[in-house]
Amino acid sequence: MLFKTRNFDDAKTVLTVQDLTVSLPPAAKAPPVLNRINLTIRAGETVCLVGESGSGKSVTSLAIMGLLPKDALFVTGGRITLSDTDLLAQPASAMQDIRARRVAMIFQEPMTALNPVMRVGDQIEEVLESHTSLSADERRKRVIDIMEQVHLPDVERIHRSYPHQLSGGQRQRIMIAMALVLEPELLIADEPTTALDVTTQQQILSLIAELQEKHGTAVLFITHDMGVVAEIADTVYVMKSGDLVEHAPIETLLRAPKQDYTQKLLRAVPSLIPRAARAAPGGDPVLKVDNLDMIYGGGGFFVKRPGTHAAKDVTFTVARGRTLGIVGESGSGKSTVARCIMRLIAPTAGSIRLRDTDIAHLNRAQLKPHRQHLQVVFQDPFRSLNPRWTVGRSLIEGPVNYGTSPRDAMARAAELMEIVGLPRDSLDRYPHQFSGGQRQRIAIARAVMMQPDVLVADEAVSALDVSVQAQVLDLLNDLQEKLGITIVFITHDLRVAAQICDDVLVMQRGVVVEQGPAAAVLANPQHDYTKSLIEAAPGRAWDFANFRELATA
Amino acid sequence: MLGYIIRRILAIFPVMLIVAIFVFLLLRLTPGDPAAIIAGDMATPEQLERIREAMGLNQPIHTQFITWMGRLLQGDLGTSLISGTPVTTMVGQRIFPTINLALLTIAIAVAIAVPMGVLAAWRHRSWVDYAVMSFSVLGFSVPVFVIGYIFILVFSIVLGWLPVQGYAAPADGFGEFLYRAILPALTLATIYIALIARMTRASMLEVLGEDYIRTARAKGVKESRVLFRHALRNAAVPILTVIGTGFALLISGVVVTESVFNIPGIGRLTVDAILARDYPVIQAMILITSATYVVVNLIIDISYTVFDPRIRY
Amino acid sequence: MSHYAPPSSAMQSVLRLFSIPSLAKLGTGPLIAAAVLTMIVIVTLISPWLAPFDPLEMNPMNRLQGPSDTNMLGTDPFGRDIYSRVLIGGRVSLLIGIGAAVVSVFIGLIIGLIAGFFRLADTLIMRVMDSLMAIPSILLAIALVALNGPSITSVIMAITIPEIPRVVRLVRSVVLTAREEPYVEAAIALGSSMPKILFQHLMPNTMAPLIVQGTYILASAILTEAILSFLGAGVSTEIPTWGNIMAEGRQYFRIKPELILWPGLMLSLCILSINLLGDTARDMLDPRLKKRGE
Repeated sequence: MLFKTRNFDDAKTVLTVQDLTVSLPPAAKAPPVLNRINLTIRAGETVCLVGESGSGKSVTSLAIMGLLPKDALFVTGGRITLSDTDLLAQPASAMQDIRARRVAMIFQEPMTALNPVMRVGDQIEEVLESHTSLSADERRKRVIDIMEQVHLPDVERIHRSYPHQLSGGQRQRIMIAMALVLEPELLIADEPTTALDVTTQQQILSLIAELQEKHGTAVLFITHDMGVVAEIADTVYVMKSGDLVEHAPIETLLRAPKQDYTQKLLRAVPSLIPRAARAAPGGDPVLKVDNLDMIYGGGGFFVKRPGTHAAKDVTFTVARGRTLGIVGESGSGKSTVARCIMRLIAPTAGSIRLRDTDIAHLNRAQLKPHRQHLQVVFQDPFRSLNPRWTVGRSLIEGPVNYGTSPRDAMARAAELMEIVGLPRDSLDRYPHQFSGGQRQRIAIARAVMMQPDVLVADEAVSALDVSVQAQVLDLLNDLQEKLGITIVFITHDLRVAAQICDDVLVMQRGVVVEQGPAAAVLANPQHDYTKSLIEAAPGRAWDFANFRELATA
Repeated sequence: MLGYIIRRILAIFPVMLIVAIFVFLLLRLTPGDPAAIIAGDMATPEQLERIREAMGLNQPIHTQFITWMGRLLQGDLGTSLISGTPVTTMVGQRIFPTINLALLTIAIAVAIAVPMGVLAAWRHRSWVDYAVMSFSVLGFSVPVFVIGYIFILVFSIVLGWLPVQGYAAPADGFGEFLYRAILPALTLATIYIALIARMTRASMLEVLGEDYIRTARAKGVKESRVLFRHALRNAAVPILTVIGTGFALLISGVVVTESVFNIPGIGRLTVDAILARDYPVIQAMILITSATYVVVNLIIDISYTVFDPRIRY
Repeated sequence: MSHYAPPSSAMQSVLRLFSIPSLAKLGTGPLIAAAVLTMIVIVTLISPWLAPFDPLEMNPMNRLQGPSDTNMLGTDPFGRDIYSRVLIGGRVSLLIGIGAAVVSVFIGLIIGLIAGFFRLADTLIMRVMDSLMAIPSILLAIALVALNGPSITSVIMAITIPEIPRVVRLVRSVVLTAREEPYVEAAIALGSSMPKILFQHLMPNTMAPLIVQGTYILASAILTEAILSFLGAGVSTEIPTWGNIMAEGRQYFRIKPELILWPGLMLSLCILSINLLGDTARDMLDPRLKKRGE
């Protein structure tokens, strides 16, 4: 793996953060949100700020921009210096002038970060209107120029488009154009690629690198993704609940992390090397999907509109006790397939054989006896449990529906709580009293209560931090070994797929492009799309957990 | 875009049809003899017969409906039981004062309420915010006629600045019209201001928390521009909606206010019809006001597309 | 199985409203509102014992008197004691308000649940509700009273019917949002029956917004009663209500504005307190607003 190794000792310092402390209002009597943070960024350098959710990475960036939420967070100590300008001492109007001109920012959600009712060209131009006295013609020229620099196609058309008419990647390019149009000294990027598909992520990362090279911009890049860090960082700062834990040049940090927390963080990064193949499928096929088709919508009152063909001719089989991964980017149809299997929606055509029954076209009443064999775990752990119900009540809901007495179901629920690693008294508590990872364990326990044959996990670990992610994956693995459950694992994350799946099925725009054993598909992809997905996976040449290059097999 | 507008226009027909059926059934489904209900307990058999004749109550119900709908579609809203004048003529004579008063009210309300709401949201939890919110709750809590009488008491009787009652058409001089219409318009506008200011504030608060507002601030855009160019335009759709649904309040208010200020509009016409149990007139007034409400809201629905480019299908 | 669920789920949000800690957290505004409203309700309830005079007793010799030792607020055009009438008048006004609020919430809840849950019924119900919303509520109420006579029940009905579509829309939108929640889909996957999902998972979500909506309807119903009486389409004039007292005061407004101002003040205070409490309840129950406050 090639890391960046440039030496910045001679470069001019762009940003210095000294002992920065940010606190909640005094009334909250809470410990500071940021505790004496120190940070230096030099011209042309990319500094990555990494940490799990709640570590204070975003607060740091907002503090630098002077955009901390009013009345909620306050800088209570330290200094922020942008090439000789003391930012904390600036009055609001001066800060307003510094933003975009000297320090600019791009955000995570390109979907919501652009004003939906303003043409994107006007949104870029607004930066020039606010900070320069250029004429309208000159402004337009500058806007077109920067839009070309971010490699947007058909600039004239996009210039007059509204955000909703553009793709996620295009919107993020607009954000970058907006941030860089005045050639600021410092660019702050807060998780700018997290909401994007891997292939788009790769393009955006190289775009930022290209423009940084061209303009000599210093970049503060905030991310939770170690793979991204490995690709782009010169220097890495690791944060944990408001403290700066460790900082080092990228290669030093990845090869020889000093702090326990950094090591833990790196160990939790799932490897792209597929798991060791398990004993060949001895069992019968539990789930067999044939020629599944799903078309959404269609019809229309005046004009006959074609529907969206979300899944085309999907066919696969999973044997007892095995895990099948369905992998794809957004819009690939992977969730549609999951929802069809769960019969939360009815497929347009095809068959879904669960054990020996085709459940694809059964009605509500006919489905009921089969539901207990088929359970689901959703992505969002904050919405998948009824907030008004105790955990116990949620857990026994299923078994009671199938005639188990509440008392027996409760006893079983208590046992399961221990298996998923939660105290027994969790049963009397409500979901809001648990963390995301704990809720996901509860959701898994609720599914396992039914002793299902098949468990569909729809992006079940995507909303979790890596360290929690690893624990939940382990739990699923244990349960599978103990109970022989078949798992259908839907994910966009190749690393996660590599860790848990025996077989992998790759989908693109509703079509299965490749399927086979995980080792074969991931190590030796045949289809171009699979190849591009794997190539786009950031940091793929590095074995994070073992602090070394991947031993190429 | 055009398809959207056409669909919205077509959608008002079933609504109006159901309103018409509802109005028709209102009288017929009330227990008892409809003629007796209209005429009152003291009616002579001759009077009852005259009412039945006038309203076609002697025929079978489906014939009544077909005849009634047929006339309705030709623009015949029926005839007053008291004066024998066609309702359309009565409305034609009385509608202009009401329209003028309503337009003045809407103009006043929007001009006052929107800046109030924006200011309250911008200075969330400050005294400005609390003042706006207090005014708004107060506006919802005092009956419109009490507001009217208080205004009369203060501005006309105690201070003597404005006339107690009466109306002048704008054709007789706009100054004179304003002089006489300003108190009724302010009276009517109070609840409307309360409603719009409240919604503007809520909608602005919601929008001000959005990511793109943070983006605008990160661009170093002036705060006034953030508020009016970025936030208000995004907050516009719910505000427009409430202006539309609030139109129903305005109609109710008109009925009351015209009585308080003695304005010869259709509100007074309605009140007189109620007191005289002139059912055909009441019925016609319900139909006319409902149709107005539906059309106003149709216009507002279509105007969404001006404010939000995403609504285009 | 409900014996395993500590407080009944539907009641939880309701209980949260009345729990002591949340009362203690109330600001001064809502506390004053609660105090004023409690006062008005108590005074109204015991008004027959509190009123110095029979509110219906006429005394032609003693018309339109100013405040005096005998008649605290003076007398009306028939020589009746204004103070006694205002006290008693609150009873019917409150009764009508509460009646209209309870009935419209109840009917609206049932129709709204049906509309939110059964797609087939939804289109038809919502069309009818849209049409009902298009009819200005005052005019509809006037027509209903004109047809059904000026009794208390007919006034309650006249105020209730125009409020129902608003409740239906609220309940339906809550149900439609809730049924997209993963926990509802999980319940489907767990084999829960449709009634179980409807009543145990979806309906509890409607309780908090319904309480808030109920208070607003209560306020607006009291207001509507006053307007109906004022227009001569309310409860029969023999029954003193705040609206009726004000209606009778219209002709004498220039000589004796108190005839409108006193009952108007009571009415406004009452509605103001209810609205303030409704706002407070909404702020406490709306998780979105709560999140922003944190």
